[in-house]
Amino acid sequence: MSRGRLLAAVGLVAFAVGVGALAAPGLFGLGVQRYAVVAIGLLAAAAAIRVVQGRRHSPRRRAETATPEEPPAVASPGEELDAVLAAFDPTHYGTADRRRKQLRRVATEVLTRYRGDNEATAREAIERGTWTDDPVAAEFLADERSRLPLTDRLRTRLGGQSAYWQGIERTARAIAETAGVDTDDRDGSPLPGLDRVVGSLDGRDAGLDRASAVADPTPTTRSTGHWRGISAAALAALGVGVLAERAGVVLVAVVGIAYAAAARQRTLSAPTLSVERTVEPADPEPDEPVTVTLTVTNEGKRPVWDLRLVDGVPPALSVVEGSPRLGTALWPGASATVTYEVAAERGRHEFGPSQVLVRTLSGSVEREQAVEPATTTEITCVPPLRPIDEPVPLRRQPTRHTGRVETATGGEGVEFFATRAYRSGDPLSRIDWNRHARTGELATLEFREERSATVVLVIDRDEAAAVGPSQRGQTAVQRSVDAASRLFATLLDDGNRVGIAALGARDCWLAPGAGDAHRVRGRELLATHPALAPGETPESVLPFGWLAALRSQLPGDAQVVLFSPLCSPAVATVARQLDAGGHLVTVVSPDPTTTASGAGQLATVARRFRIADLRAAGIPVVDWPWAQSLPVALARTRWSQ
Amino acid sequence: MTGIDRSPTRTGSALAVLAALVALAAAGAVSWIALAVGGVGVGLVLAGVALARHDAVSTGAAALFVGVLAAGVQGAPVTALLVGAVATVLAWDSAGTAIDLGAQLGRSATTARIELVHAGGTALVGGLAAAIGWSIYQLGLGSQPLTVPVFLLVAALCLAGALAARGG
Repeated sequence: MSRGRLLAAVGLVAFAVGVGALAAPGLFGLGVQRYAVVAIGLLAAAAAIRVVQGRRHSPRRRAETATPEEPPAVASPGEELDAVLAAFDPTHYGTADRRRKQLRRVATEVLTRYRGDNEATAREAIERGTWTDDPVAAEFLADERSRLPLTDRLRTRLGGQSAYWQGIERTARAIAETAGVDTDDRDGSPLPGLDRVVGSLDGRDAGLDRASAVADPTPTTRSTGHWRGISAAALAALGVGVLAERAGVVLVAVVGIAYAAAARQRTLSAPTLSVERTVEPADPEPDEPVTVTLTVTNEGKRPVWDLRLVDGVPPALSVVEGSPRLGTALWPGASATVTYEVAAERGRHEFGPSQVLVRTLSGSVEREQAVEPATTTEITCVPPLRPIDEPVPLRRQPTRHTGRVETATGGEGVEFFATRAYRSGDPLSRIDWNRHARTGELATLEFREERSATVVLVIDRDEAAAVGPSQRGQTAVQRSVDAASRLFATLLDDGNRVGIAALGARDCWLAPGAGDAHRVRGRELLATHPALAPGETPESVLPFGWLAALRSQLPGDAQVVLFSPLCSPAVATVARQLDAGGHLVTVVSPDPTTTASGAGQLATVARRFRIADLRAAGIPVVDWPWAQSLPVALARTRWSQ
Repeated sequence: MTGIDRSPTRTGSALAVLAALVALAAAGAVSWIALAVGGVGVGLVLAGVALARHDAVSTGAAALFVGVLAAGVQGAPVTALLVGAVATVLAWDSAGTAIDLGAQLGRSATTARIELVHAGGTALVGGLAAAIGWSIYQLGLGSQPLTVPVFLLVAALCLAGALAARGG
């Protein structure tokens, strides 16, 4: 620092002397020799080159801004091949060719399940390569011991598609086709489409930015390097001007010096800014546009020359109109307003602080900070409960309360069930008087008893369930919550006692109940509980501790309807354990799988396995295709109870 | 909606290209070398704001500046040199600001106010410096062909060194 000051002082003195010599010619009788001037000119040129070099090695810096306009990208099931394979076969093979071994296991299982082979025949078919028509896939699985050739390993490292990866893709496809998965809707690209890969990178960036902008509210000041290298212009002009003996060129250096001096400012005092945010309406219906108005005011005494602001739009909401970004200059007391629209989503959404970047007039220093309004802004969107007309897929298990679940027990009701011999004490109204008139025998009519059930709706909100077929669409968790809210309303209307729980979230629990107050509580919980909030990335937990807690809360006769895409083995285990523990389980499973990549096809196969296993264990599963509505999916499922 | 458009902002890009053209006209009117080198510079600045490349903008601005110096060596009037130099710096500055603003706020945000205020500040500094330089020249720098430039040179070197020592 002291060196800099010294140089600056000497420079100013020299400048003064130069100007003085100009004002009073002859004041300094310096007979500067021609060769000295040439030397100094060369020196200036050399210094200019050095500055330019320095600029090349020190890049400009600027704050990165968040991308709050869009929700984070939705992952697809089977985004990672290794995770999908590990779900089939969690063995930790130490060899380089782990994937091939795992694929062999998958192929064997598919052949035994879908071709009816026993395991030995299936293995033989794989060894001989007769299990599929695809020669690449057949050969890929046939030679287990072959390692990757060196060239392929290199090409894998370099990112190109090698024979190895092609083999994996073709094998996955052959396995999926053997399992009856329709793989025709893929676009012919051997790997996930480039747009998908690029898109997911975008999405990941967006998620990262969003997190960093909110997580780091401490103000930081940095030098932007915007004017770095301007002194080279001054030096070059002086060097060239002196060497060419052109006074006009030397004067150009004055411009360069002026800019270098103007960019010298290294400090930036903290601006006094206030923001105010209003939302209209604050309690919208789903998909209703909400107008957000953000006003930023300069409360300080100095002008803010360069203000860049990105509003903290809640993660789950997407901006549909306008931009939540503003760039402006503010005089003291002045304010600027930015207006944009977001589409409402189910849930309670709190706005984060606005990310604010302030620069000096010259732009050489940048300060990054977060600014929050005095009061937090929230949008609460509680969708109405919409019952469905389809019968809800409950299993037959009566309780003592009258309701609408058809039981396998005869008694009092509406629908004819059976007749039996009269026992004394039967009510006169139920004696079959027609038969008595015909035959003289006394028989009692029995009607199908309709009783209410106690049902707990359990929503899978694990990380593995937060997937969907399209990046900018719903996740299976959102589908599950929507379905749960519809079934909640329907079951309550039918006179059942209904409760709500979320997989792995102990605080998300509504004990089974009935009545209007319960209905309102359930609606609030489904709409606004943080565990079910859209845009949240739930942690992946093994849910068995939670399962024990749930079992202690469940009433003994409660049924469970589990909403899950069945994308992880743990959920299927939960369903089986609940069922084995005496709670009749039904699974409603939105299907988020895609067959766009080999890994996606394998994930589809894995999900089919899980559904088949659950059904084999006597647990009904509603396989709900993504494109269908819930009532249609329920109507299309035949109930074997 | 897929991502936001983070390409350089329109106002700043237009300002940069306009300033680059002014610099080219000021220097190229006198010297063929300036016209050729400066033409390449304008192209690079244009490419830089189109592709959001700081390096292209800087190289383009450097080429424009070399053109201005060449015109000066070939005897261009001092007014043209000063206008050319200020316009070159303005082009470089506006293009850099447009790229940064585009990256931080995107094209759809309202940013014209920042860009105009910033360019105004830059033009003001350059205008003042040019006015001082022009006054010095008018006062008769030619009568002191060596003493004054040498002291200005030393001053500039020291000032630049001072700035470099502070990381500028």
